[in-house]
Amino acid sequence: MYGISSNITLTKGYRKSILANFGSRDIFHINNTEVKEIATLFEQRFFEKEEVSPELFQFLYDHRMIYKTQKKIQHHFPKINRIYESRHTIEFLILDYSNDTTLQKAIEICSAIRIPNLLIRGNKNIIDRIRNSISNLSYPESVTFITSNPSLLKLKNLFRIVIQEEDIQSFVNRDTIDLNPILFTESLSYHTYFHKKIYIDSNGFVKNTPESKEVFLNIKESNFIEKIKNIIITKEFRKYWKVHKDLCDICKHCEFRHMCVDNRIPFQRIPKEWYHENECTYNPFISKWQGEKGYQSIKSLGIRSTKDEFSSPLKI
Amino acid sequence: MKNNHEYITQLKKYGLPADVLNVNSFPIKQNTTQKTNHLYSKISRANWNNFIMPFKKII
Ligand code: SF4
Repeated sequence: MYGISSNITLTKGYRKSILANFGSRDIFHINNTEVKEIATLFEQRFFEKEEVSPELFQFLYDHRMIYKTQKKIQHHFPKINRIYESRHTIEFLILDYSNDTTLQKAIEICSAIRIPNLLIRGNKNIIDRIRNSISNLSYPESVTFITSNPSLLKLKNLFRIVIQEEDIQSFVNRDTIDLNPILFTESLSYHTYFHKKIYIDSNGFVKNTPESKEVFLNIKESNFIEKIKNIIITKEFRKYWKVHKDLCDICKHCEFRHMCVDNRIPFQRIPKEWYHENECTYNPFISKWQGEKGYQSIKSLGIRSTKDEFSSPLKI
Repeated sequence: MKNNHEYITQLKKYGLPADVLNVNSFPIKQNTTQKTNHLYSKISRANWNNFIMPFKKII
């Protein structure tokens, strides 16, 4: 008897599907016509060699997706529930650098609320200042400095400080699609972009993310740490946190829904139905990226996803 | 009762250690002041061999 490894996932899209292996980081982008047999195996989880076509068996076996086991001990391999758990209320603080006061305040916030990742966008060389400020602190654990200044990019990464080039491509693109077990698990129940984030802009206004419209506070106000502590537990601040991709039009038919980070703001139509105002650069109905040969926009296929309705001439 | 002080001076006279019978009843006083030797400084986290980094695209 054979069993399917728990490292394997199958995400079905409208036209194509993703078969991925977290263990070896293999990704197979396959047509839905070929996916039927694998899908039944996923439901069964345990099967005999004769039940599977020889080619598929060989493929799965060669890529270490199945293992040999005995029927007697089958119950020792229960189904894994993927639940995202984090010990931090906020995981990422993003700061648009403007002056040292806001930098100092951002570090204070990280330290008080225990935010492990601080991301700073800026073009001034403040690396030494950051290093001095965080050297005696446990939080933030790491600082990512995002810049487009070429002289800063030549600097080496330091312990706990990483220098990264600013990405100017569209947010969701081929290169940012990532097979990552944490991201995968998070995407099952949370929005991977808005979840556990806080943003401070160059004027000191506090938002959920740079794209959010709601401003909650200015860190120039007195007693800002206490105020932020109260804000991050409110429903308004967490408005988009639980809007996972299975609730969004179009994205729920996309095979990359557990592998992408999408910065578009979702809008609610009715409970459990959300839509986006702009199209993504990937069209799951023809499985093509923008700029690829034969690409058509989702709108030109006759699919409408608006405030009032979702309608499609395709069989969905 | 044994006079410890006198006993030790007598033994010293003959050039013998106080604990000549090796019974550990005369612990040797440590003259060196004990140093508190922290491998890591107090403020640093002992597990700084790993730290959390962003695991996905953030901005
Ligand atoms: S359509 Fe949605 S799920 Fe697919 S890549 Fe774009 S944002 Fe991600």
